Amino acid sequence: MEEIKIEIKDELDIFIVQNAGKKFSREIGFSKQEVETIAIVVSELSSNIVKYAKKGEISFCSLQKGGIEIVAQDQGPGIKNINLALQDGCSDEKSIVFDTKHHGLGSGLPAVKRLTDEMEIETTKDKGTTIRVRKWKSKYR
Amino acid sequence: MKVPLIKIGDKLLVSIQTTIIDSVVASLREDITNEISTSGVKGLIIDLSGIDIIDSFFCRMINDIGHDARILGAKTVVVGIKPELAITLVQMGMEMRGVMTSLNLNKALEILK
Repeated sequence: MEEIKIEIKDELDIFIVQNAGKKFSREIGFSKQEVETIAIVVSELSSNIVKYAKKGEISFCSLQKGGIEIVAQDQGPGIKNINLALQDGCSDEKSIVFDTKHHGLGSGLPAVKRLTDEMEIETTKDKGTTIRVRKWKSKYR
Repeated sequence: MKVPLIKIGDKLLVSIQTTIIDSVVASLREDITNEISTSGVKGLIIDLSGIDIIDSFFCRMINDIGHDARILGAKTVVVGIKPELAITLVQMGMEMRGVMTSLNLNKALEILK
């Protein structure tokens, strides 16, 4: 199974990882529309890393059954209330993220959930967050 | 990097030719509101034909710019969104409520007439 791992340190890395995600998903046979969707997912996940954890990494791997798995990993503050974080328009003002001065818009994670088929979140206070999403090619769904 | 703001008559044209990072979008918002308030344009056209990705932050910023412009007395029309981006925006559940949209620059100019 192919795998690509990209480190995220600043806003510019979001570009790099977006393009890598597009290339990867195109190569493993996703449609043009699905490639766009994957690019957004990668973009949301990586901008969350930059915004809240400062640094982390994103990895892609192809799944045998015809899909892609994207894993976003960081050692940031952690998500306080995952259910709230997955609700639309609920920014971190309502204490979704532990200890942060930043203000999100509350639409990133809900969008990721909507755009992917499976999503798992593991998070620990001050230890970091790992978000694992999978998207299947439409004919395998 | 700075996005150029082009004034044509009483309209302001902002053509974003490439995907830009979040901090640039945020400063673009300030530039646009400043330009509208100093030059008093009545219409704002944002051309997104060069954009490959519209994520939740970017979408929110476009909406916010539309609201800013309205408060400052200008109507906003967003043009040139690629079809695959339109589909993705709908799938994401994002809406462009603060702005009008049109297919191309010509139609936008008609709307703002």
